[in-house]
Amino acid sequence: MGVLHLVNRSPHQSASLAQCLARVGDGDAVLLLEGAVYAALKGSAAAPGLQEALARVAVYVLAPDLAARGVAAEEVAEGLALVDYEGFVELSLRHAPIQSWF
Amino acid sequence: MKNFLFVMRRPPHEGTAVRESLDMLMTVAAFDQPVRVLFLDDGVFALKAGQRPDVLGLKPVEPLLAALDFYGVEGLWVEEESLVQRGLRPEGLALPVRGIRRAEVAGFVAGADVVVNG
Repeated sequence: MGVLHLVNRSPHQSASLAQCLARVGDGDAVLLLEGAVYAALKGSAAAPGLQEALARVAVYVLAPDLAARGVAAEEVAEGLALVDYEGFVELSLRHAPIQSWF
Repeated sequence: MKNFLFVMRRPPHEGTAVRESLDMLMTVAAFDQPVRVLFLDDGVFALKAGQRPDVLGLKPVEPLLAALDFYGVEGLWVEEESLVQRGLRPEGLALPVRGIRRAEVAGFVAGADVVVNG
């Protein structure tokens, strides 16, 4: 049961995603929500860091927050999994503890 | 009984976030729950010696940190890489804290039942 990391700030405004990825452990999960979903865009400056992290952790993106920002599923980088609110709840149950990088 | 870990990542003297986290921390400790504190990223600036927040009319954080021992807090840890990146050294801190390497942080966090974003 790995740690679930929650990141909610755009990587273009805050270093919190990079700071999180520098401290994740093998088997942890990272969920991008709110402004952090912009990190999931193909070609984003955050993409290389996320792809590198995928070797060790699973990365999820909250689909309603993508939709609200006009980001279509096809625009999301390979290897990232979309989850809805039910999926968010499931992730919360499957991991412990939960660490927020807000 | 739950093991609490407070992860302090915010710089001091910007609003009341650090003080509020410490209030919460002392409340948890007062209920005899095991509490550890980890300073990461800009949170390490709260530990710097020689702070004079009174110059800005602000209250000091240091006496609160010094009081944590009295509340039975298990200990204070600081990530060594966060200090180095910010030009700080362990001997320049206001309090005795234990160093932890970045590579050890994941395991340290995983060992907690509840992580509070301080």
